[in-house]
Amino acid sequence: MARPQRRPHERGTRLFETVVAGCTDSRGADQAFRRALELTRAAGGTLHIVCALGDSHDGPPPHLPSEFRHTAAGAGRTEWHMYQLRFRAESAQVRVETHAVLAPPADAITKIVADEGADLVVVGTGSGHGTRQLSGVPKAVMDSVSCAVLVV
Amino acid sequence: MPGTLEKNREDAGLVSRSDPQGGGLFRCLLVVLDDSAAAGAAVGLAREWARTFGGEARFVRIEERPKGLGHDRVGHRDQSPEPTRVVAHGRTLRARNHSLVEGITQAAVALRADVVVLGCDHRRLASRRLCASVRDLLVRSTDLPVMVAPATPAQESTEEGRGPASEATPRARYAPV
Repeated sequence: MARPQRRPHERGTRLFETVVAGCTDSRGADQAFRRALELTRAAGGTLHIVCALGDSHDGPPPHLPSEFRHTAAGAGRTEWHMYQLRFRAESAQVRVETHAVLAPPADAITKIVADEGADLVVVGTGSGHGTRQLSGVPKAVMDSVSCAVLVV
Repeated sequence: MPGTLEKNREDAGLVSRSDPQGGGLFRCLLVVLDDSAAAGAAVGLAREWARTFGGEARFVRIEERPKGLGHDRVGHRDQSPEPTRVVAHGRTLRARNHSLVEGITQAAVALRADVVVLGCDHRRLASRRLCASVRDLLVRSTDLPVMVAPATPAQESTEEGRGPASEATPRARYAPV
């Protein structure tokens, strides 16, 4: 359910009260997460970690005993990565919320930005082969969200 | 033990193993402005940033001229190493975009910027067929983080042919100053 948009004066005076970071298990995304963590910590806001789950979402291994199904061992790769990021954020004493969205990455980020009324989105460039290039995800995010976007 | 503390900070994501300084908050923002409404939003964002986190914002105004080649960097005074204006030359949009990005990159180096904030017309930041956009070229040509300032409601309505956005939207936070 979408949260009602708050008016600017109700949102407090913090610059980046709500920061969204798109996260995957890549180097660029890890840099983006660290930047988002620093900014959120300095601003005293809330960090929203968004992980997109594709159609081929990796759930728990099929032969995993049922007692492990709802533990870290039973989590799919994406959930496990999100759990780790959440732990890192909480260790840094940052308020954090995680969102696993069944959608393509850009759509997932855009949805959470709209739902949470984010002030800033931090995304990686999406490239991992030497030269930095803007991949489709950050481009799509920049084209569709209405807040500031930081590409690291 | 210092080693343990450092390890804990690494685990918390505050320090990178490859970057022992941990990056830190941006201290110098290079704000690139044109005459669009997004430029006003970028100025507002930069001022808010400086007030909240400290640091300084340096502003560079961009201009385009369809004649000539390359780019000029213009300072407050002649021979000034710190540019306040980048004039891009080129007959085509593609040539001007390349020229502009080269000028912005050099300005970022000259001003020792930590981040480039693009307060430019959002149509200019979008790719067009064979012409890569300023933001794409900038990301390719520099290792600095690039921030795109939010468009203002006025710009949004102009670009998308819709009515002005309500005051409650996040865009309204950084109103032109």
